[in-house]
This record gives sequence, structure tokens and C-alpha cells, in this order.
Amino acid sequence: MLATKPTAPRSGRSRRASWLQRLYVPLMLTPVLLTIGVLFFGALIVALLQSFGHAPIYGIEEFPTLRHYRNLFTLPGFWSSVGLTFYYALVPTVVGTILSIYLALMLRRRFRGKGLVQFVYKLPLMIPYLVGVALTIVLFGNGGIIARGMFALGVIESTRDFPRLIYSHAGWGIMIVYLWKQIPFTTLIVYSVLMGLGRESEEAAATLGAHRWQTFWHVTLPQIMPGIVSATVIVFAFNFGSFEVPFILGGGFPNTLPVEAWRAFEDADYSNRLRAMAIVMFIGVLSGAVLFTYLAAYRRFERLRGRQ
Amino acid sequence: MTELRLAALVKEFDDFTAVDHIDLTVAPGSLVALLGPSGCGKTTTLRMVAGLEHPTAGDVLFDGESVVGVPTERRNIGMVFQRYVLFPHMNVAKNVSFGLRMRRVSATEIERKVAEVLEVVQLQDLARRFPSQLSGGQQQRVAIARTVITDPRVLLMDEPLSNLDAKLREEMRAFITRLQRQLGITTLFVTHDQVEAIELADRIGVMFDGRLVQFGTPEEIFNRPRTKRVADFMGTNNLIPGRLDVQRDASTLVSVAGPLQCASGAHHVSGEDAIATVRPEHIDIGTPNGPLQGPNRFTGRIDDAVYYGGTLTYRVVADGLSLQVRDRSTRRFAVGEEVTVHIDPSHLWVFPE
Repeated sequence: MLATKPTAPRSGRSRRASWLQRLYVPLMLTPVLLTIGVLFFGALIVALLQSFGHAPIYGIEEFPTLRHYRNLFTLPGFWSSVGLTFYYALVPTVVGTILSIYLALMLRRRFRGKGLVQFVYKLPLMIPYLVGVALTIVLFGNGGIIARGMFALGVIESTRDFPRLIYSHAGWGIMIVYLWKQIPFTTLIVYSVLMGLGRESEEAAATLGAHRWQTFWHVTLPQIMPGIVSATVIVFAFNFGSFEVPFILGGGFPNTLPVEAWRAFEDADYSNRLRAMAIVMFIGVLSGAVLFTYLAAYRRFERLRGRQ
Repeated sequence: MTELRLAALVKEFDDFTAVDHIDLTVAPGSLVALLGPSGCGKTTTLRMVAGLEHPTAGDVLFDGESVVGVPTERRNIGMVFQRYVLFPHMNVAKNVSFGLRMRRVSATEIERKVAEVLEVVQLQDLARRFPSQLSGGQQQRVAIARTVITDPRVLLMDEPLSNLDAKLREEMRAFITRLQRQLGITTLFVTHDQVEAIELADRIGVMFDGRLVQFGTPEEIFNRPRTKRVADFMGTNNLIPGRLDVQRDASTLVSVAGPLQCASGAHHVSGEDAIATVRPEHIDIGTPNGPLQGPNRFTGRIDDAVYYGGTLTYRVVADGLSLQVRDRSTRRFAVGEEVTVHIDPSHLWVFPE
């Protein structure tokens, strides 16, 4: 005879308890899921529908149409705008990451005034981007402190001879602001990963005959890579979608995609708002695709290296 | 083979002296254990030999040549860390070949040597595994393989067995002894475990508070401790305090139990407070009025008896002394029974208090 597990008769109360148990976690998550759902996906769906021509609030109903995307891709300056967006996002991410790794490595050493340096370098994290923008104008503008100083010292004949660092497509000013804010951020992440790692594996490498550069390349960098990847993802995504910095410090038309989206949205002609939504969708898809590819490539690299 | 010498080595951290004038020589191809409680400066000493700490004063010499100015990576040493510190992102083969790869040895040579070393540590089948997939003992063997593959002049081991369980520790102890003899590497070994030091080392240096208190063969340290602290640390029982009375050909320690004759020692000073020590197995035990003759006889009572590993260990209380006595014979004394104990003067070791 087969042994059967004794089953207790289920009371209504215990059934209700198990029903509650199963729904406990989803219920607890409801507030945050609702927020994300309404604020993010709700808005996203509206933007998506509008970009495909469904915008009854502006009296436009041509759903479904790809017209707004087609217009976008043939718009003069659009592809320069895509290029600028990548340029302003990518260069500070790469430069900032390299500088941050260096800074984090230096911060591990013992030196006089280390406590002060560790406090000061984090300050930009607490200050809004707009303050950074203002500081950049005051410092690096053609009428700025550095230009005046150089003029006073006779290095340049007129403040107009000072190289255009802001309001130009080269984007020095934009990238300075990004670096000002993001080097502290990336340094903070890399530094905490380094602290968690300790010095032992580097010491082991040295006892095995690895000099400093070899130790960094073969031992330290591979172990802090996950932290670096997370930091670069966040920094790149922010730069790619950043609006106020290129809007204020950029070189006019064409500007980055977010600025172009804003301009289209602000146009007196409401029908242009559909184009704005098409740009917004395009930014989202592009940024998502880049980061997805980046993360997939990194995971593949780790797998090839044999790590699970 | 390289001779390692530490000369008046000092390390100060801010206002704390971690290592205080250590003089020590490790003969070529021999294994010296630095033994002491945690915080006694033994690891700091090891790190100065490795070049991971810079000495405040003194010198580290390989074959008579100072290496204090030589950075770690050019000292050609091997170091095994307490927590192994394998590179988690490299498999066993990559970990083991690391030192050779950094020295830009050719790929074929690396392959040959890795295979050879992995065979020595019996890990041939695990070359593709990652450290996280290995047991503690296996990780330890990888750590050792990784250091010996570069033929280091000096091998440094920082409590390499303290993270292993008792059985594995014994296996690894035997393995390290075998490997060290086989390769003949000059080795400095740090431990807080006196059994480990005695089993592994040719010479032991006992350290307290940054100072080298005693240096000698395991037998010397074990049987003839120079201070009470060393005796305590080596797990010596039977410490008999008293005052020395030195005659021309013999010394006597006047203890609570009466005078104890001991072999004379050049360092004995009359009238000085001293401690006599004797190993439990060096005390004879017998029935009262039995055949035990000679000086240093006491009558006492068995207070406790413990059977372990073929011998009986008694605690005998005699004339105010509590002595541990180990008896390998087949006779048995019952607790409470009256006995006579006898200590041969040649087995008594006396050192100043």
C-alpha cells in the first residue's frame, strides 16, 4: 500500500492565510510598482502613441503613421545632432573614468591632508548641475576669470582671443561640467570597490614579481571592473539624456537630441510636439541599445575569461 | 640556496614599536619558524623580508647583500599568505603561471613548468577550476605552487595552515615539510602554534612584544626555555619556583618542597629567584619504599589520572608542589594512592625568574 501523507482538513482560515501569503510580496510592492507604472510606462505609452500620430489633444489623429520618424531622419542637422549627443556623452565618460580610477588609486595612499581631499572631492556630488554650468561660464567664458586673467597678464591681446570653450560645438564647457560632477561619482564607486578588495592581492602580485603596471593591469583592474562598468552605465545614460547642460553651454543648432526634442516641443506649432515625442522615443531606444550591447559585451568578456 | 639574515631589524608604527631589534639567520635551505602570540611582530618581520613594509632601522640581507632598497617584485621571493589570496578571476593554471607570465617566460616553458608544479602539488586535474570552486586545502596548495614555480630565493609563509581544519592541517604540514626538503628553499615560517613550529622547523625563534626572546632548535626551545613566558607558551607544565644556591659543582633550587638538586649551569647565580622545569615524561613514579633512589625524591598523592594515547598522565601533589607525571609503564595508580616521585637532576632545567 502506498503511504500517503496525512492531509489536515483545510479550514477556511488557513486557506485565506496561504492566499495572503502568496500575495504578500506583490501587495507590498504595489505602491512602488504603481509609481513606476503610471509615471514611467504610462508616460512612455502616451509618448509612443503620439510619435505614431495619435494625439487627439492637439486635434491630430493619423494613427498609425511613421511620418514623424521619417521627417525626423530627413531633417537637416538631425544626424549631426545624433553625433553630438554621442560625442558629448562618450568622451566625458571615458576620460572621466580613467581620471577617476587614477584618483581612487591615489586616495588609497597615506598622505598629509588626505581627510580634507576626501571631503572636498565629493562636494560636486551635492551641488546641482546648474551651479556647475554657472561656474563654467564664470571661469571659462570669453569674459570669464581665466580669460580676464590671461588678458591682464598680457598672454592674449583681447578677451575675444581666448579660445571658445563654451557655446561651441566642440563642447569643452559641456564636458567640463560633466567631468566636474561625474569624476567624484565614479571615484566614489571605484574607491569603495578598491577598499572592499584590500591590498592583499596586489601584494601577492608584487611578491610574484609583477611590477606596478602589471599588477594594475592583471590584478587590480579585472577585480574592480564590475564597479567601473556600473559607474560608466549610469554616467553614460545620464550624459546621453542630459538636457540643461548642452542647452545652456552648447553651440546652438544643431544641438543634442534632448535639446532638439525640447525645441520641437516648445514650438508654437503644436503638431511639432509629435516630432518631439519621436525624438524622445529615439533617444530611449538608442541609449537602451547602446547600454544593452555594452553590458552584453562585458558579460561575454567575463564568460570568456571563465568567470561565472 | 640563499642565506637570509635579519640584522637589528626595527619597525615602528607612529608611536608603537612592532619589531624591536631582531637579529636572526636562516641557514641556506633550512626552515625557521617565528613563533609567538598574535601581535608579537612576527608577521611584520615577514613583511619586511618581503619588502611590503620598510624597516625603520636595521637590515635584511640575502647572502650578505642588503635588499632593503630593492622593491618587492625584484627580491625574487615567494610568499604564502594566511588567506591564500589567489586571484579570483584566474583559474588554477593562470594563478600558478602568474609569476612566470610577469617575467615574460615563453609559453612553452610556462606550460611545461605549470604541468610539473601542478603534479608536485597533485592538482593536475583542477587546472581549469577557479579558486571559488576549490576547497581550503586545494587553494592552499595552489598558493604554494604559485610561489615555488618561480624558484624564489626565500620562501615566506604567514600562518599558512591556520585556516584549515585539524586533519587537513596535519596533511599540509607533512606536505610542506616534504616540499621544503625536496626543493631546499630557505624558508621563514610564521605561526602561533607551537606544535606546528616544532614539527616543521629546523630552528625556532620565539617572539614576544617585538623581541626575539629565544632562538634554537625545537628541542632546545621545548626542553630548555629561557624565560617563564617561553615555557608557558610552549605548554610546559611543572614550573617549580625557588631560590638558587650555587655551589662549585652543583646548584640547588630551594623550593617550597625543599631543596632540588639540579645540574649546574653557567648562567646560575646564587641567591637569585629561579624556576625549574621538568617534562612530565622525565619524572619517575613508584610506590613508596620502592626502588627509586637518589636525590629529589618526594612523597605525594595521586590527585588525578588521565589516560591518553597509550600513556597515563597523573597529577601528583607532593609537599606543596603539583606535578604532572607521564607514565608509559603498564602499572596503574589509583586516585588518592600514595606514591613517590623522583626527578633526575639532569632533567631539571633552571632559568631565572
